[in-house]
Amino acid sequence: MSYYIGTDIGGTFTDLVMLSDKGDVTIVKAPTTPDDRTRGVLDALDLAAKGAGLAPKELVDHLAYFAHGTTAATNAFIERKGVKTGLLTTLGFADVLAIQRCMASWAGLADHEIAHYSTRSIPQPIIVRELIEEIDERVDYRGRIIAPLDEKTARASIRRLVTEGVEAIAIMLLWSFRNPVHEQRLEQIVKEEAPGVFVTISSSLIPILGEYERVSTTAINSYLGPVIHRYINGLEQSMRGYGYKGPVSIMESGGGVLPASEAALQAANLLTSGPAGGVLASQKLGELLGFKNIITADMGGTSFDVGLIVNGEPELQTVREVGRFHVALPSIKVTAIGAGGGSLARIHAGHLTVGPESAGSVPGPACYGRGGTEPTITDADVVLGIIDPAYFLGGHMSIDTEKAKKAINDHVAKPLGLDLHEAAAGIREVANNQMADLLRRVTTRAGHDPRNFVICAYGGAGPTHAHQFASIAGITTALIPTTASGHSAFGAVTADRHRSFSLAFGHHTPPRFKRASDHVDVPALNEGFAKLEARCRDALGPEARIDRFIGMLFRQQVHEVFVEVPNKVLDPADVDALVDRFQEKYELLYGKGSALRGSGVEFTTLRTEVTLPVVKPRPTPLEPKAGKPKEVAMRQVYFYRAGFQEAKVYRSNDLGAGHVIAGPAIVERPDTTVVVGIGQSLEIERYGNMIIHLAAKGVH
Amino acid sequence: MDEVRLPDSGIYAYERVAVDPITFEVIHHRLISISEEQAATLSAISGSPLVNDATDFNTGIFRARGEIVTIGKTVLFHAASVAEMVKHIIADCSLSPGIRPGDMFLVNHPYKGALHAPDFGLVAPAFHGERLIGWVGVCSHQIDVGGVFGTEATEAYQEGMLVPPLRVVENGEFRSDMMAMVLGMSRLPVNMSLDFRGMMAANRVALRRLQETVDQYGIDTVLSVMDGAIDISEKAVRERLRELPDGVYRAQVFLDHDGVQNKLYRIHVEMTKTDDHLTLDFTKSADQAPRFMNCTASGLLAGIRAGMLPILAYDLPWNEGVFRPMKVIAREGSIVSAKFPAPVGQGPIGAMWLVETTVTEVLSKLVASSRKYIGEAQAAPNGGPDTFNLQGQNQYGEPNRGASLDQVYVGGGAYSHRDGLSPQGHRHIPAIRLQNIERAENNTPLLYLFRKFLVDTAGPGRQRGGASVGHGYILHDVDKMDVRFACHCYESPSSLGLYGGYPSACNTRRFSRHSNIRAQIAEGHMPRDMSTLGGELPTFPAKMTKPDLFTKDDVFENGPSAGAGWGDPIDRDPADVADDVRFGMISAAVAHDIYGVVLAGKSGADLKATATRRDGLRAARLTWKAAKTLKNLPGRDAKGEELAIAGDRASIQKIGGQAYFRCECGTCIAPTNENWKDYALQANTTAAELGPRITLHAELEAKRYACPGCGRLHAVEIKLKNEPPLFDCEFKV
Repeated sequence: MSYYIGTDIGGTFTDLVMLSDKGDVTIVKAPTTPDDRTRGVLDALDLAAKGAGLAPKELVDHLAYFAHGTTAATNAFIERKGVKTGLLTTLGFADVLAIQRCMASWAGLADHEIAHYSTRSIPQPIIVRELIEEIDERVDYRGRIIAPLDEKTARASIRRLVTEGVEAIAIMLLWSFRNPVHEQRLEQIVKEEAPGVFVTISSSLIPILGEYERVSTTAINSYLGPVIHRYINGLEQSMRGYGYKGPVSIMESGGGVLPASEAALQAANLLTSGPAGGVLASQKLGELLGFKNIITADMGGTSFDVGLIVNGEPELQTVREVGRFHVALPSIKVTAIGAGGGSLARIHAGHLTVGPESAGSVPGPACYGRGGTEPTITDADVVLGIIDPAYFLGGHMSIDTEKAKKAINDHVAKPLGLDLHEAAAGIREVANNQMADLLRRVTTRAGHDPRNFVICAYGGAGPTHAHQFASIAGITTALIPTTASGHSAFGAVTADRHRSFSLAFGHHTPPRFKRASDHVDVPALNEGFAKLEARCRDALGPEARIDRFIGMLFRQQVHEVFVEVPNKVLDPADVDALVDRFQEKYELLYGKGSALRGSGVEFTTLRTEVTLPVVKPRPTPLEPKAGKPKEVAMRQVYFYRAGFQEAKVYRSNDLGAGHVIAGPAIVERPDTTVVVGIGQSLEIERYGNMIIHLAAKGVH
Repeated sequence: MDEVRLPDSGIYAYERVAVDPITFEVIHHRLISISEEQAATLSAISGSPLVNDATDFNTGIFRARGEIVTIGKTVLFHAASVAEMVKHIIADCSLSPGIRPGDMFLVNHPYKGALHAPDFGLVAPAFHGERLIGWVGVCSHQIDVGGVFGTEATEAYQEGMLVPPLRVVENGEFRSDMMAMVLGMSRLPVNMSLDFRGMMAANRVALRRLQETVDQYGIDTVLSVMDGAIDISEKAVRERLRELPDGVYRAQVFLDHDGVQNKLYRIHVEMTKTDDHLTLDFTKSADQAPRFMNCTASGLLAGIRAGMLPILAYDLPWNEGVFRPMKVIAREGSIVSAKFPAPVGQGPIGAMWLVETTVTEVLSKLVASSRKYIGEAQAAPNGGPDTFNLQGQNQYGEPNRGASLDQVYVGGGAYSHRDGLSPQGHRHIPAIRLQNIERAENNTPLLYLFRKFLVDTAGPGRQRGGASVGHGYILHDVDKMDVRFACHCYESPSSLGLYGGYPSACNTRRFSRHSNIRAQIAEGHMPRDMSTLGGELPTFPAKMTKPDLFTKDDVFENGPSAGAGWGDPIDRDPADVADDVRFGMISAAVAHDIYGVVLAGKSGADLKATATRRDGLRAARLTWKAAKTLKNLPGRDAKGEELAIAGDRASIQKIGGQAYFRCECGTCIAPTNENWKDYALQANTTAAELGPRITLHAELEAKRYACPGCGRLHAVEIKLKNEPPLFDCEFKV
């Protein structure tokens, strides 16, 4: 027997998903240990061993693969607990990082925060101004050296930073992606002067046009590199201490895992890897079950995160905001709003609002009895009979229904003149509609119709609300994965090895061109892809699958679209075909007739995505479970507009493949509560995941 | 415009129904998300940086007579434009063939709702059966609408095409003849047609989603939510106003240079706040100017709304209700309400800009009278941007296109509790994203020498203004271009501080002609700043009527105005001043002269020496003279009852039946029925004393006003030389 383990450290819990050769899936949760997060991982490992009836050592002896997703990078960045970092940048441009293309006053703020001017602020810097050194050099837009690198003063600058005690240095010079020699020389000088200092150069990490995004990404990478190095090293040592000899993989945000040894060098790539893990897990599940178009919906305690899988591939973004700065490494796109179990319901200026403010985990919802007095979505779920106070988190957490009632009565029901249950159902209704509006926005923005998607709902609160937010958005099928409460950990263990490499290209056609190939240097294009492929092979070896893409835009326009490029030496006809494919995809995304071909086309960026599957067990279908599903109770559950209904209550342990349940019903799992609405039905599919058929109108 | 002449018979008549609060919220959120979807649709199809990055557009849903139900949080000026267009469409197009389902109307006429000719609106009526229930609309800024260069136009006719409300869409389809006519008047018809298609698709999405909502909830319910949401916002603003002291609040600034002569144009607002409503009277503003800096009546409304939204409605749904407690008075033919066909092409960065500035000041002084709301009061934003127009061929031999937005990297105004943001960007653009230098150098024949915070742009104060970012440029891969500049706030500071805070810098230009830049670069070094470049330093008027030549030996530095300060600069924490010097936000000279801070080497302030110097500054102020004096003022320790505050270092206090303007030190400066400035110690102040980037027009003077008891500065004023000080806050408490 071999085991495969994925772990994911969240704010409150460290999740662990264990797969076995036989196809079993085990999920365990241990409290996260913020002082030393490794301990929480080992605690979870012990719990998993216990569950399998093994000593931890025995489990490790049979452990074939260990993958890890972590918020370490995200937390360290948001809390600005990276290392003291210096920056070398072109003379005249030291302030580019602080100016943020004029986004400094609003980057990372929600709409309502942006509108409240008096509360706005400038983000805490990554690198303080005193540790930014301007370097006398200049390269122009064609990569020509306008002023040579002044090595003597550059060396003095580096020495000054070293004297100041920097642990890391970031290097970003203008146009370095067109001509990297100055950056490379500076890196060399740093290595000569201070071999122990962690260095990132922008032309190597992210050679694309746009000095702000480059400097921000490079700075973040250097700022976090040593932190991640220490963290991953510690984790690996601990695993080795347990006797584990297999590979350790680390989840990244672009669509796969990295070997532990590379994680620090790619530290900026680890940011937001948790949400990416959930989307990847949904993608793998979709492959297994035959769903190609999936909206992923992760509803936890504070936020509702939505991702998109179209035709089997996760939607990517080239730039994302994290901790009020920007990272320009391709990543799986996830859009969030402040709606989760802990979101607060408030009356403001006569309106009932739910979220974005959250009770967090402390004090948490009123029903947790930890001092919270304001009502949350979870309080509404308790009051309405959806969550059984005696069986919350499998009965491991006590729930005070009276506190939930009081909070809703005092803060919502009385001010609005509603009775308790109308008010509680109203909180759910408002929140579910907000979430449905986001599902709609995410899919229509990507050029699609939500009605052509299934939804994969996970996170602690996702399965409790999917029946309603999905049906409001017009979706007919909701998938509740077995790993709903540890979906990111499942993503970590099932994800492939992956890297993404980009290279700025920057050739363009004149306006009103006839054939793009008359204006674009085709040999240079081939040379660019050859360089990228060599990097892919270096990274993942000859067996890996390489996909090539090219980013293009219409000149004077902003939408950059990546199209697939055939894996061959391109000839002029191929290049012309790329323009046609670009136009086609552009119009698919942005609407028929939206292509502005007459203004000319710019070939911005070449990109390769390289993947190598990791060894993991094949899931095996379950035997259909005989007999009718066993009801454990009938319960009065209040549904919006429909009032109290008799709902059948089931426990997930009693259910098996092939079982079908008619709504209204509640399925209680140790980690979450699944709601089947009036007129809906739930089936357990052959791998044990739940599918809710929402086709009937559902509850509006 | 107020009058709307749509016959009632065409409007769907309905009974307000009671909607339960849950359904109300769900529908209200749906309406807001429809507006967002409209915006996303326009952004997608348009693809233009003006729409996507500069957010120079807006979307919205309106009731039958143009009342705003939802508007987007993009450029705040547009909170007036589409709604005003709707009113003009009703006025102009209700007769044959009338307003019909499937129609959409195109408008860019600045006297019919648009802010200036580049702003095109496309507006569609929404029907229930045969009856009008409302409108959906979009407007966006176009790069080229025909016409001549700004300062040359003497009438709106020359500023580009004038499209009155024109039915360009019938039965849901563009009329090709109409489109050919409109597009034929632009130099960039392809870009324009793309934006129009985006606007049409956005309206279609909104109409469809609105219909779905009506189908789901019923027409009367949906309309009740629309009107109910408006009522809720109105009620909230009225309640807020009721909590604030009654009074008359005044502000004025002077717009310099009219495109022909270096004359000053007053923008003046007198705001009367009574109980739960406001009257904004602009009657004392100057007559309209001969060139493009005027704004129309819609432009005036735009400036007022932009001033108001972040101060009074920061946490409310933005709709018609927010604006209902407000009445506007202006003279037709004045600079803030020009008479057709006066030119208005630069209205948004001319008169309209300064309307926003003055309204921001009076509203800030209103909310700064209350301990509860003072946090929302802010010192003035920057003076309007200095447009920098480069014409000629780019490095690819193509015509150079598009205006630079580098002037938008400005600092924001200070608040009582924090400095202005560095940078914030224009106040009326909540979230703007600007171009990377590499993108700019790729598209235009420029080599940037720097993008950096400029020293001494921020208005000094206890909380200082935000600093602005300046840029230095040389030409690259071309030999020459034509260049033109135009701005205000060049010799007339318009970014005025509050409660003793100083104005921010004026817009400055440094143009080094026939410099040694090429020789420096040939020797292998880039210049660190403008100081070593040599050459001649020509001066330019605030607004150029003819282009000048920019050659490869010239260097240009653009230095924008910034955010104004709050409070007396000598009350600023010396450590913060030392940091500002270290980070290049303020010079050592300003730290010493204006902030009274003595620096200790590179790292900090000498606290003892600073205290001594500040005592000296206070003592010097106490030797200033007051214009008038009063006998029998209550003593410094007289017990008073606080009626209101006046910023965070003075208050209005009742002592023995009389209300006084009283400094924090206890000194009663004057009774509230008189202008306190007449009784404060005052000093004529030179431009240099206000800061190295300040220029004062020959007809202007600056005055500082200090407490006769403690020497604290309570105001810095810029005014005409022969006029008495402005009575800024006349409390009626």
